[in-house]
Amino acid sequence: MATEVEETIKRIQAHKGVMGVVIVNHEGIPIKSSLDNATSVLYAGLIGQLTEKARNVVREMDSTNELSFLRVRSRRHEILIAPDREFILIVIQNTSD
Amino acid sequence: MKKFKIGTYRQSNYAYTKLRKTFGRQPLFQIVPAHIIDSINSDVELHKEYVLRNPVHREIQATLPQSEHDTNTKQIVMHEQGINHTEGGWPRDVHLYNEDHLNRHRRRVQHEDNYVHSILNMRPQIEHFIDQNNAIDMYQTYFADMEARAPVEKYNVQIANVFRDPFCRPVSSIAWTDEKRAKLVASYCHKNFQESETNEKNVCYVWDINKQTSPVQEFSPTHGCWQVVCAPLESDILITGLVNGTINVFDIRASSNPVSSSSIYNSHFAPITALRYTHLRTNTEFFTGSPDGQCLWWDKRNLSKPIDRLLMSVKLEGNEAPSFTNSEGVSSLEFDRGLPTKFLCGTESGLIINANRMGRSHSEVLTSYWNAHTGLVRAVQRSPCTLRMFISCGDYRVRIWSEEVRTAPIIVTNPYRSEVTDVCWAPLRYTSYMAVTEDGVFHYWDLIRKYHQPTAKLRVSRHGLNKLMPHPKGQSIGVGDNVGSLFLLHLSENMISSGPNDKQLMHQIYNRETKREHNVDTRFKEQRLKMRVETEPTAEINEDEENNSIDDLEQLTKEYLNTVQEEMGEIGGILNGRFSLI
Repeated sequence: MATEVEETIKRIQAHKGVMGVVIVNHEGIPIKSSLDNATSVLYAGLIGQLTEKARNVVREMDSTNELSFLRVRSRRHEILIAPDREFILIVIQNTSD
Repeated sequence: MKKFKIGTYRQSNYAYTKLRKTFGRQPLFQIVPAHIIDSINSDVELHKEYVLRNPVHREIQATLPQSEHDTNTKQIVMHEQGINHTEGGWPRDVHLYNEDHLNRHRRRVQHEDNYVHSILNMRPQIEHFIDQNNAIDMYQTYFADMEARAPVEKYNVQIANVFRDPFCRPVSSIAWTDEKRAKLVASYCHKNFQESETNEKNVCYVWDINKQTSPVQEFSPTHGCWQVVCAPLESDILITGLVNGTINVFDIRASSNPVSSSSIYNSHFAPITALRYTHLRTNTEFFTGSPDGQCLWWDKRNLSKPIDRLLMSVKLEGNEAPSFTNSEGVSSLEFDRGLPTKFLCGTESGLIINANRMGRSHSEVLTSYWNAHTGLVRAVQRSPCTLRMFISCGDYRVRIWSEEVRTAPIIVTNPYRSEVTDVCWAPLRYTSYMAVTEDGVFHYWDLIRKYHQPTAKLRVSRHGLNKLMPHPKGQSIGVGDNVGSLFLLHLSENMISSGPNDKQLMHQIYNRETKREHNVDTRFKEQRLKMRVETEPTAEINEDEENNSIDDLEQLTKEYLNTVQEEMGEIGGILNGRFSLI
């Protein structure tokens, strides 16, 4: 099972344009990351908060609704955030091609 | 040392007995009536020891009693400080700076069941989006290089302002002054043909379009005013045509009374129903029309008598001379600067007469006429687009005519539900015209866009509207109604100016309609001719006979005269020169 996870992460990283993958738990600690520690910690802290906020927004607008995916597109790259109940999967992809 | 006599004073004490077994019980108090336990009488002897003190010195201060009290609270020391969150969330036992601990914790989490399931669940979703991003650039600006389309034309007419006549007289005429910030001039008059006995106010107003409460200026003609016109280029001179047929000229700067007026003997015999300026160059000539059947030309500087007069008689028979008995009353006039020698005249009998001032004889002056309406022609106006096309209104209809076609109007619309009181072309927009009716509705028509119904309609007033005058720039329109309210309407941008092809299209419409009428006319004539030819064979025979009889007659007369001559010769020519050959 653990190897499957490893394999998944490797596959994701192998996609075209993917710059990095970070897995964050609900407490804000990066469990697995392909970037260096400092960057991972940064991503973990900031994106964790953003996801929480987004989740709240969707919930408040319609209580039967829930956040399924979040994309933050910037000039240089795009951050794809897949939230889960406990973990958050973050992929940073380069879009300017 | 004084000795106190104790005397009768005894120590007061009260003794009671309590059983030991009742010790410790709660005291149960009872309310008992008062009873004297002891009384101490006053000792008169002691009075002698005391003396009354009089006067008594007493110090008093008349101030508010004040007191001072101080406390000291505990001081809270405040201090601002930022916190830098670098990393957190690690559980208690894991130390941040201990790599081993961190890794161990991480590995522990990775082996949780929850973790594996979550990641495997999230995987397809994220792969989908990664692929999507790689496939297309979803967030680019699409259609960036497409040009914007022209906005949809929304027709909007709204009432910008209302000016009310305090005396509630119907509006008889509206004019715009010729200046940058044009003002509205309105005249009010009850249009009864007899001059009313009651001294009705004849005052007319000049309104500033922004000030609704009271007019900027007032002017008072001597009698009820039926027509008012502003001088072109001079914004202070107004010319009014009155109910008794005379003209009053006003200079607003000078006074509210007329500067000059024409004499009643030289003016019309009936109220002036139409007044127009002619000839831009001199700027002082104008002409008037009235139901008495004549048009008079005046010079503003000298109103003592008219410069020229013209009797509007068109239906003359044979050699009849034009006179007041056979002339048509004039109800509206139209003069356009583009055709300085011609003008159009609408009559009370429903004709529109085309007049050319440069004609030499009366019939050349009044060149032609059209049977326009049943009832008086309330307004005639040439189109600013094509001067050969003009619009007229009267009874329940509005009709558009061409000068070239004599028989019928070239464009007609359905009759209105109530009488149409005034119509005019939109000044800058070649394809539109506006009409007002007796039921208080303002109609705006655009002949290119919608042919069968007005493009915009607005219920302006509960009472009938009777006058309409657009500002030459086209944006504001003054509309007057039967109780003296003068409405200022504003049109939306697309109703004022023309589109790029409008003039061309309008010309096309004009040409097409004229041609159609021509064709209809020629066809009709052909039909009539054909019918006449068919009935001719019988007619021809009759004619021949007639011819024969005429020839016979001539021959007979000739023979007779010859015989007479011979006889005369025989007699001897005494009375030769006396007879003339018939």
